[in-house]
Amino acid sequence: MWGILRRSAVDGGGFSASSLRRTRFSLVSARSYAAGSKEMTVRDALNSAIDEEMSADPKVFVMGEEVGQYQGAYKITKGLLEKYGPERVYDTPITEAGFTGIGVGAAYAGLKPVVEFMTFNFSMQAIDHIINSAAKSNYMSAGQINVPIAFRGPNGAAAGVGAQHSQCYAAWYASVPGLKVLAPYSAEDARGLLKAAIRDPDPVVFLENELLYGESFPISEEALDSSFCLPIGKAKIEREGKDVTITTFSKMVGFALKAAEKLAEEGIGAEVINLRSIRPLDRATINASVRKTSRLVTVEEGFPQHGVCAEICASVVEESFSYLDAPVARIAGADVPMPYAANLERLALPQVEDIVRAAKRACYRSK
Amino acid sequence: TTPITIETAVPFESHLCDAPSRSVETSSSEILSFFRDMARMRRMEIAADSLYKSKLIRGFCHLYDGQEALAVGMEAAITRKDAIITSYRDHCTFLGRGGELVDAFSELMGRKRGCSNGKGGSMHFYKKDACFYGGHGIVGAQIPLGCGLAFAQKYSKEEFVTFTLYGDGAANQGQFPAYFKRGDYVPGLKVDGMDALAVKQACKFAKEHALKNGPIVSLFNAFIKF
Repeated sequence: MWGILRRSAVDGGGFSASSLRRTRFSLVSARSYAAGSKEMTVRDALNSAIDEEMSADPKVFVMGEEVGQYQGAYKITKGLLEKYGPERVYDTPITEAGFTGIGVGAAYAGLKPVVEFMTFNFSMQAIDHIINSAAKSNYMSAGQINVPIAFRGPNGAAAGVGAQHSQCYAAWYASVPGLKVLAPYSAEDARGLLKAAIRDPDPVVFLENELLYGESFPISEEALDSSFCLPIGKAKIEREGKDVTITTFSKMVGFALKAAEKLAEEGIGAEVINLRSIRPLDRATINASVRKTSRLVTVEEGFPQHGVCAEICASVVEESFSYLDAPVARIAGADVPMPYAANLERLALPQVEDIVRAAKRACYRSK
Repeated sequence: TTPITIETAVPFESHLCDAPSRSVETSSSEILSFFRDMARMRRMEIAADSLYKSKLIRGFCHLYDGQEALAVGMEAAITRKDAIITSYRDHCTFLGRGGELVDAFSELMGRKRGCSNGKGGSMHFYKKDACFYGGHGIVGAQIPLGCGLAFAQKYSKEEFVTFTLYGDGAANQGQFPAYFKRGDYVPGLKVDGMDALAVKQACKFAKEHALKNGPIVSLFNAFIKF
């Protein structure tokens, strides 16, 4: 019954999912990909995931600033207060250190909090609890304490919000043993990974993207099922190719797919890997792809130094050095606090043309 | 086990609530057990001090000698289903929750037999089966964590409470005053922390108060040697 359906079809749609992967607990759909699949925004995907998990497990509750009465700063928790009541949806005061500590303490006692940070920039106020109280406790207590908490919220650059509201925290959290770090791209990613995060017995940092909330993606019947769940630690090959591997996560997946389209016009087949899981990183999938293409371009929105791309470069150099035909290229945000002016902001973030240029350079098609 | 009633040496002081009575019900066997437990705790801490000075205990070693009456008096007033969370000064709290001496010393000396398999050290003793949630190294961190434990007890409608223990250092940390600065509405109690019977009475009172009315802050005065 749990058969694997694997098809890869490259179509002109750009970012649409093109191969089904086996997922645990899910019913395999035998429908043709092209047969009028539904669409869902990332916002609705996240909302439905939280709703279903709250319905399935009375220990799951939501807390954060504006999650209740205001329906969520970005409306991700819309309708939940009305449906589940104030005993399960808590509007907190503006004190991340306080409410994150409360969430972690509740998780010590066996509840399953879903803690929202209005953006992950504010998580820095609570980072001691995320790292020292949540991530490390299982180890320090030799397994006695586990912390089934999920921290979620928008991460990375938005639009014009300036330096203090635009940082990407993927590399910060992914360096910590004891944490799992997820970064969805599509609506299917959002549903499957958030459900996995909420069900997980360990602390999970779930990095969303504000600019993706309103984007619509096709979504399969199996992804709409309430038991749907994606495995943590598995990347997804969004587009197959044989000439260069492009790895990325979150909003940059869309950019990479657009870059792959442009590269295809010039005869370069780019394989686009959507990491989905920053920690644990799917080193196997990345390395297998690089061994196939011999060239790697890693992309992220965050600061370049000590970033996710740096870790991927290191992994590939450690495991697949002799397969590389070109140096690994890192495309990251500029090494500068995010500027406010729109033109400067654009220059500070990777654009499709940057990815195209790096891929061509890796293929020795340009300087 | 014949009940005895003893008056505490020092009266309780209270804020925004009625003070408990100075007459504490106890028994000779309870008082003897207090002595035994407190003496064991004191001996443990003094031994730990020697081990630390001989560098057989590495890193940090925060000792509880002088505060034994607190751990022991509290345990007499509560159950093992009430939760305790404290700072890094956790050795005697661990013993009070039923932890074994050999597990404590093994942990301090980095052995696998330690209560955290040698992976925690002095500041990270836990005993989850007795609802003891550690053992925290960051000053003040245990306060919101303790609120979370109490929140979970309330959420699950359990008739148990959480005792969150902290010292005067944590009393200054942002996480604690931030919540209570919004107005003078949390009641308080001031207790002679050197008197195990007064501690027992205060904790019994605090538990009843918390279950009925909400949080209460209790200040226990104690001498610590180090």
